[in-house]
Amino acid sequence: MLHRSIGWLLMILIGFHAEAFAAETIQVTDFSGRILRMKRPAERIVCLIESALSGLYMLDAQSRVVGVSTNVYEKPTVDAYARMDERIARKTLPAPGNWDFVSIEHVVALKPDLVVIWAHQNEVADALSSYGLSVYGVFIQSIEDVFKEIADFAALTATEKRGSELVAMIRQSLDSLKEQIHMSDAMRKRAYFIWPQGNLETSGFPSTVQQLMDYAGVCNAASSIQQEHAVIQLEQLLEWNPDLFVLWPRPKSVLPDFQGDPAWSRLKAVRNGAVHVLPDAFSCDLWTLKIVHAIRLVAWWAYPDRFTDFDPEQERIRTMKRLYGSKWIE
Amino acid sequence: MKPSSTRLLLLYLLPIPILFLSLWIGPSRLFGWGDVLVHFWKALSGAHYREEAGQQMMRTILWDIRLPRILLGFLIGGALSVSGCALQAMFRNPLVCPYILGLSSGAAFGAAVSIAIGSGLLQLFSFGFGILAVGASYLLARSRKTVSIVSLILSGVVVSGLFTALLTIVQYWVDPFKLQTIVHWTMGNLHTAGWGKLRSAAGPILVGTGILLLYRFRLNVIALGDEQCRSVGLHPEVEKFRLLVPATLAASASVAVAGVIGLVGLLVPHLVRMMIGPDNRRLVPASFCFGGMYLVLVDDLARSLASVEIPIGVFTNLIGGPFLIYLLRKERVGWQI
Amino acid sequence: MTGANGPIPAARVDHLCFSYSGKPILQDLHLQIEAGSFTVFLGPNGSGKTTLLKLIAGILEPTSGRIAVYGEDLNEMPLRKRARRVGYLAQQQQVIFPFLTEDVVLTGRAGAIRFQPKTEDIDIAIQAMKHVGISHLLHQPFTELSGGEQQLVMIARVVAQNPKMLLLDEPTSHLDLHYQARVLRFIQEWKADGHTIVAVLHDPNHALIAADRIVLLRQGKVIGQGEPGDIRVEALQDVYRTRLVPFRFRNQTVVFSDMDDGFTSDAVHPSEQRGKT
Repeated sequence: MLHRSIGWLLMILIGFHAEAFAAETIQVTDFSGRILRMKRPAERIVCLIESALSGLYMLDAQSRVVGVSTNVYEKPTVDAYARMDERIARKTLPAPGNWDFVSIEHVVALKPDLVVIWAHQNEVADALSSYGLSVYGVFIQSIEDVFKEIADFAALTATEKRGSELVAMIRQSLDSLKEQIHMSDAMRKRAYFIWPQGNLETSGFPSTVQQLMDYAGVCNAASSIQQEHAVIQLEQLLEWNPDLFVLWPRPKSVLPDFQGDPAWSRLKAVRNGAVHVLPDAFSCDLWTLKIVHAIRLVAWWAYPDRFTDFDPEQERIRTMKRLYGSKWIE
Repeated sequence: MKPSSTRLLLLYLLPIPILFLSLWIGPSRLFGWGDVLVHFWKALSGAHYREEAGQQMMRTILWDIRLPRILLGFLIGGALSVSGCALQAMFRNPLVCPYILGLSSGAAFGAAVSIAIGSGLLQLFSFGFGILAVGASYLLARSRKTVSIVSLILSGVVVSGLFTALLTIVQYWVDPFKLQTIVHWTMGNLHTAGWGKLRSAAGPILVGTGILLLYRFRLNVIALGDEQCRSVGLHPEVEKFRLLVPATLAASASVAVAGVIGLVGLLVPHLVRMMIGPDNRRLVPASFCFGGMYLVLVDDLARSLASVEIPIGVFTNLIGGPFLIYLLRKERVGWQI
Repeated sequence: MTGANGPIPAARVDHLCFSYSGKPILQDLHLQIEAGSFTVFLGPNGSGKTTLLKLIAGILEPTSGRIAVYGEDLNEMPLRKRARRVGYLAQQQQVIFPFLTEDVVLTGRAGAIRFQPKTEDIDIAIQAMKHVGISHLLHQPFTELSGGEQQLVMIARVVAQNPKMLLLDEPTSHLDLHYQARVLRFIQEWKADGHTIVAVLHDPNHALIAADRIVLLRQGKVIGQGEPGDIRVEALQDVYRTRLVPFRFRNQTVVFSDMDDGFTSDAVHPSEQRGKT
């Protein structure tokens, strides 16, 4: 009788323990297909992708970050982070690498339990895993990818509540925008995206730029091109003759002179002055939830009559405050 | 075996119809051959006619996009070929290209720096560093007023390596998009050709090739050797310098506007030599015409393949490489080397 | 042409020294070449005769000493002027590109051409080829010619250049008897035209028959010079270090190597005898 009772007691205890154990293991799959298992939420994160880092800040998990990427310390990015984090302002947060070059030694010396890198840095991932570190690879091609990244990070840092808040907020924002600019295909405007490296450098399909256009209710002029980043022929652009240009931020001095060029000046967008530049790379980052700001800007440029009292600057501040919370100081 | 005058005439005149026909080629589906013919007829006959929007677009595409690109391609192909002729005579080696003294590495580095810092002065940087590299090779190779071929080649290798290393450092520091642009530029490109680029490149190219054309007889003398050169009354060092400067000017200007287009300066003189013999009095102008035509034809191919831009250097290397190997095998490894 | 001290020599060499990579090739040479004469440098391999010729041609620069050509210092003469005074025929040539013969000969005119050759230049080149007897090779690629034919083309090139003094380095070495005789005849014709000729010949008999003056060189020094009649057989034996047998031919001595006696292992030249019994 006693034996059986003890046996049952043991079973129940083991049962509880097993459940607790199961509850403690966090499991996510990163963008390279790697499965991460962590017993506890990550305490020391080295994040070498700046867009992922901004996600961590949005989740309010920045205190867990012990290492960042080198480009965080470059202007203008550093200004935004410095305001949110003393450590960056004082340059005390180490930067052991970036999307291309990683100092394995330096990363390991920071004793992290989670390292965030680019999904294609396989050699780095292998090297880090051999030290027993969990490695999360990032590769964003769509907004759904950003949502997944936020959800994964939320799980890994035990900030699920904030995570789902953020995702819901952005989904809702996109839905309401969709309502606002609802129109038939025939009425849709056509936009041409220009990267700063050259006036013929654009993004086709699939790409985050395509997503930007889709959610903003415009057609991507280059959607017939099956490349994420492509250089098109000028003739082709003349044939598409888009209604507006959307330019990725660039130093002011390098703003292209479309009016002065005989070929470019023929285009509808140039003649109508519909050449728009996204204000800054940080607030419009297409690899983060901030893409919603870029989407709203593009929608406003394309269909200004669908908006009343749209103030881009106010919009930006509002979006940043909602995403980053009270940390965000203007 | 004197080259027949018909062959020569063909080489000089063939570019004209080729260039004209190249205007037809392009990805636009806005207009067909018939429209183009009608347009030209009307333009030639001077008749005034109201342009519809479609015709305006056609005119823009023909005159503002295709024509400057074709002309630029012709100039660059010609410049690289003539430069190749001069350097091959200087080095007494038919397998030398205009980039041998570090020009391409220097120019690529200059372009990379310009792209990295985001300045709008890419052409200037590339041109400047190209010339700097060649100058450095030349000065390094000079010892007591003589510049031997071997020391030139050696210093060219060293300077090339140096600038390639510097280029790699720049590539390390830039973000992925800039890196892509740098790599893209390095492979050679004509897609940003316009009247502006033509204007900036035409000057140095025409000056450089003009001087080489003027001195083309001396290429024959130099090609026979330093001793021979001296004995007939020409100072080999002075002549080498006199040829190196315009050759570098023309090649550097070409690279500055269109990136590193490979295997034109090497292949074209070789081909033309096979057609009309090595006498530089004929080789230099014929190479200019043939080289220009060659590059325009290759660019026609590049333009018509897809609506995205594929760097023209890809084609010149893919076509020129195997062709050169075929020629070399056919020819008993060329001329007693 | 006469100067203050009599006729100006075509070339005058004073205290000439030349070293290459620290090795002395010519030491304190003194020499004078009379205008309008045919002088021959004779000597064994390594005696420095080609070097001396190149120095007088201005191809090499002396380590020390002075070379004057027609009264003027050679190294201070501008190259174009030098080309009118001195022409040089190299012993060997390596031509990479298959230039046509006429193009090669035409380069001899380079000193007189500013940019492009004129019709006169082309005519002179064609005349030169006719003179040397190679008109039939006009349109042949140089690289496809035999060694002898290439030599003749280079001679025609020097002829086209038409300098006052011709320096020829072994002009007959690749030629058959016919062309050897031809070249020696040209030399006489050019001399008659008023040119000065200096040649390095490998066959001393050509020198003995045709030259006005012979200079004997050994180990970078002039060990004898004079008219052919003044050159003793012993001196030649000394220079070439082999037994020579003299023959009289039309009032001139010619020499042949003594095959019978000369090349068995026992027969050693007196100058090489070092305590042999």
